[in-house]
Amino acid sequence: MSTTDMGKPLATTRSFAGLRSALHIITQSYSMMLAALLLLAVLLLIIIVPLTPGYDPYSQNLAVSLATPFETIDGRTYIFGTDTLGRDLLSRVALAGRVSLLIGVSAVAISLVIGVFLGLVAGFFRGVVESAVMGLADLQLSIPRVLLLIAVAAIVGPSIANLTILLGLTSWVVYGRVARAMALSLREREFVLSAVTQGASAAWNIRKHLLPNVLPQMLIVGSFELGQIIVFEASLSYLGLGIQPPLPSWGMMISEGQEYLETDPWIALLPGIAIFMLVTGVQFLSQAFTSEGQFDLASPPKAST
Amino acid sequence: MSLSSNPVPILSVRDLVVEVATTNGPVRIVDRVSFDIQTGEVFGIVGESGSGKSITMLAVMGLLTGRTRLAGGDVLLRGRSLTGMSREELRQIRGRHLSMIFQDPMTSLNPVLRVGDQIAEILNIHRPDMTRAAVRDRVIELLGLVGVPSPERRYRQYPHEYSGGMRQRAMIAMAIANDPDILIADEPTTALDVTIQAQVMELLLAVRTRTKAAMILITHDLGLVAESADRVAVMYGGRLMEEGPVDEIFSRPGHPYTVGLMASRPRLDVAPEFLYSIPGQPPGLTNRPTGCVFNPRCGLRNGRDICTTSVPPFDPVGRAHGAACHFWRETHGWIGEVGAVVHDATRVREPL
Repeated sequence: MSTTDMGKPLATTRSFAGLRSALHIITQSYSMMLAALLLLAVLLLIIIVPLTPGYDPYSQNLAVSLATPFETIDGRTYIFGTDTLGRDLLSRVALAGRVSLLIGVSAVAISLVIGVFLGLVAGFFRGVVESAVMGLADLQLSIPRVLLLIAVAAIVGPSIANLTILLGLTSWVVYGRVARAMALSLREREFVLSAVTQGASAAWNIRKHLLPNVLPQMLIVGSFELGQIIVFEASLSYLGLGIQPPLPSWGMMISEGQEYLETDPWIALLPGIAIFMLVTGVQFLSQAFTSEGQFDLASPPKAST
Repeated sequence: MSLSSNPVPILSVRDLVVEVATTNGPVRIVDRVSFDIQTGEVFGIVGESGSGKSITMLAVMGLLTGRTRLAGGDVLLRGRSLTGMSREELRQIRGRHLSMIFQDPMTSLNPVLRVGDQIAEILNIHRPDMTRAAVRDRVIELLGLVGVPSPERRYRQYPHEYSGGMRQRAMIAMAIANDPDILIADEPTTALDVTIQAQVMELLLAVRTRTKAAMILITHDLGLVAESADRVAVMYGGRLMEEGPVDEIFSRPGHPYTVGLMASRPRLDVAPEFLYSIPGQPPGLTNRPTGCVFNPRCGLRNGRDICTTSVPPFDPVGRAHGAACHFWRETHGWIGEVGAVVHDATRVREPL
């Protein structure tokens, strides 16, 4: 949309208005406040910690192995404790969070693009195209996703890029189905017919009229999916098919800490709590978006001009 | 069977037939409709719901979908046949030469896009060479032209920030953006407030004069037609019943259906309980009468057989004026009777 041609002073007042209305929306509901709190905590952890002087996720020091949280050894306090090799868990959880979020957000972006494209095309054209796309979706759904991911990850080999692409390619169905369902009703709306009478082509209609109408809902689906993807990544890494050491991911840290669950539970617990906070935060956020209804991602804050 | 004398009609519809597929085979919902539109004229098409007026226009624009299809006839734009054109050629024509305004401005605008950008879209489709700034200036000019106040600010607003009348103004701006030859207005004022209706209609006629476009006005509002149209076509059951200059049709209607329509208008001097209505129901898809489609409801028929056995030809009944009735010569005398019915009712003071 043409925000580029707005004057500078206007743009600043607008962004302030946006910030204020965002705060207003957050304080409107408890689920939104809770979501904001949880997400803020996770984001602070993964953004701030790597900037602090004590940040060191890799170096091993057996002298301080298995330090309990808040234990001070040689004048250094390990807030999250250390693992068996004496690595600082606070640093590792923060780095792992970056890895997990990177994979999660990229995979959601890939699947959203594929799913929305296929879904809109299927719903707009109907007929053979629709049958083909929906057939593909059913085919995909008939194979358990974890099984498919394990099989393919075993073949192409584990790497961050492979993992992200795989997760992205196998998660498009949910977007595709929702986008198709919405396209089915949108294609009958008068503004689409009106655009057709003005000479708009199918591609034009899909891009200009269907896409902006489905995008808010797609982003909400995406927020649900983000949690799922991070858990998937965790399970794949847990099985050794995802992130490779020494790079940590939350899932891998849990699998490493599993052996020490009885004696030193924080090793597995801390990344587990981080996953929980992120996923819960994102889900509460999407819930707040869906249930409130009043907040529409595509429409601007009420004009203050 | 063109009745007008002008040599080059801008749009010529010839024996248009539209069929809809039903379980009992195809049914004709538009049956051999012909008319010519001259440059710059306002052509009204009236008829009740389901008479085929809107479907005729969709057929003209090549927009029949689903179970409806063009089964015959031709549409000529400046002598070029539209029916034989490829999809891409038609797309180029739409919005550039033929433009359409819909009934409900509430649903014809996309709620998630800025109004200005939606008007700009029409320019972008047909004139990809225009720069962003030029398109923007043109849209603001168009908004000003259709009487939207402070167009620069209104450009950035979304449809929910516009009132109904303003939205219809925006739709009109959209329709005239590329200076089309023909503006098709499908009940442009039906969804609007009565006070706004007059304003919008006035605007529509004003912009039409300015752009010198011909206009096809589809409506069931006879008053609107009387005020705005140069010529009128009356449709019923998918057929053209009568066509002619507006003053001719109103002063000397040739078809009993036209008479019935005019008698059905609410009048200030007759109590609303005594509002005349044409007896019976318009034909459905499956029970179309043989012969003249209007025969079961016709007050002029008086049991005569020819009405059920033969489709009446479109006879010239006056200067550039034609009607499809076997007994059009009797219509004038019969008008008195319909008037008498209404008149009697007022006297008796009993609801019909």
